[in-house]
Amino acid sequence: MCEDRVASCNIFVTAAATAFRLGMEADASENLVSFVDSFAAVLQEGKGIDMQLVNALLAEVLAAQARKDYLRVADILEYEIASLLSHKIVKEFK
Amino acid sequence: MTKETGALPQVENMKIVIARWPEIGRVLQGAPRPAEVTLVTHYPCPTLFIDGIHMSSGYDPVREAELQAALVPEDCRSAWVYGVGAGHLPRVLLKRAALARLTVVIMNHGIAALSMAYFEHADWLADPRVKLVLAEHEQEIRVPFAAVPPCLQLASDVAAKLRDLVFLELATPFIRKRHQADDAVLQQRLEDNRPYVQGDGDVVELFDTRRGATIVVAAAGPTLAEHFEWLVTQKGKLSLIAVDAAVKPLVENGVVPDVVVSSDRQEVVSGFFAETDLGCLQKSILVYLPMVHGDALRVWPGRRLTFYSSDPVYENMRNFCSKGLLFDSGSVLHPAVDLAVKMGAQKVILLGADFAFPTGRSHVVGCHVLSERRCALDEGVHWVLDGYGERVATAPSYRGYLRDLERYIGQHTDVFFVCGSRSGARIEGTSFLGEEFDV
Repeated sequence: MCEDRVASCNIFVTAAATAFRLGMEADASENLVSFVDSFAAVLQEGKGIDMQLVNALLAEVLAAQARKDYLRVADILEYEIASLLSHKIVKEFK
Repeated sequence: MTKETGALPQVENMKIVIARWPEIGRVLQGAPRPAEVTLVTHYPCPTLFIDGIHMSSGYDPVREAELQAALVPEDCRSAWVYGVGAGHLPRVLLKRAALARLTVVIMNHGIAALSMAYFEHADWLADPRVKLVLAEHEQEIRVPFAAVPPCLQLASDVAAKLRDLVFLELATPFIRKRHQADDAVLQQRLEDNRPYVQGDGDVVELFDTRRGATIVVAAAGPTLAEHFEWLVTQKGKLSLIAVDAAVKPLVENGVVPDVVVSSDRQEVVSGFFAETDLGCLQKSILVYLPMVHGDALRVWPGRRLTFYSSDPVYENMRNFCSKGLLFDSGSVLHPAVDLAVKMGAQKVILLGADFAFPTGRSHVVGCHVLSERRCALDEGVHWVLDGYGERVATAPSYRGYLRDLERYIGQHTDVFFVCGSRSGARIEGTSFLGEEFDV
């Protein structure tokens, strides 16, 4: 079940990042909201997650989104948060 | 490969631009540079950070360009690229043997010049299949295309219209998807409203009833308030068509519209007539799209006429109940304007058609909206040019509605369109009213 949630996170994060890179703002924002929702569920179950790092990354996502810096949002989602998901969180559930 | 170099590659890039497109070369050489520029080198791939926006991915700009290029079908012989970026997108597209012509549109002179100063572009610029053009010389969007989003975000004032058309095109698949998702709810709404549609009249009854007239169309933007007093003086002289959201503020200021147009499927429509003394509207006609909330139809005290849009969702309904067609591209202002034209107006005066937040608000004071949007022009906010040529804050959807209205106006050259205020978005194809109303 936890792995399913991580998988959902990965789907939304990839969809959001792709849409941001294509300039499809509304599509991207919708997927970003879905990602944040599913990410919150993963965080609630994960143990030993570096919440400081997670919070810092999410804060940077919001700041970049607010200034319409969409490629930076995509980079954080796809390369920084996604890597956190695959390396750190998944390890916690195994 | 794009790379950061000690010796900037600008000489070779500009040499090719000047040789192939001398006028563009002169423009780029004299272009003012953005205020805040940083070459970011702490990611795996260097990129420029311009006015708060990264020009390309700091991790894998080539993969990013491949994603963007995928919007252009593989077998296309001709394609368009909006924005130079760091050069990755044209380079990726030119790898395709089938591509015979690639037109690259510069959305901001200063940004393009800056990119050419920092990154290598010589390979794709020298490709004989490439044509470089300036956005201000392009009136319409061309397809198939791919775009570099930061170049759209950083588009200059002269490229604003083209930028909006590109964003609108990019948003279209999502808008269609959303409409399909709403389909079940919509079908139920249509079924609920069926008795009204069957019993009510046809908008065609109004067509050609005001040939050669001047018709005022009142939208619900903040600048509508500038015209309340004048509208009161025009009672009985000019026909007034109002969008549903403008009814409450109009009535509260002593203005009774002849026709009210309602087309929004959202729940909020039912509130547009709430807490309003509808008694004065007994002689006013409600022209509505069958998808509107049933409450709006139930409370309307006067005649009702139905219209359809070109949306395929009405296909079944058309079979049992024929009604006239009005242009509708997402904003209720569209069918309101089209109704004025189809009624025979020679001049259409647009009031409160702001497509922006000219006072920091989305709607005129007194308008019923579930969540009044307030927005100031600040970092990162979407903008359009107002009637003074200054940037004014807006929303992406407003920009889309504006450009669709401009297209409509461009197709109706026999009608004179006049805009009531310079504080809202500049609407191409309209002139402005002077100190005195010339009607």
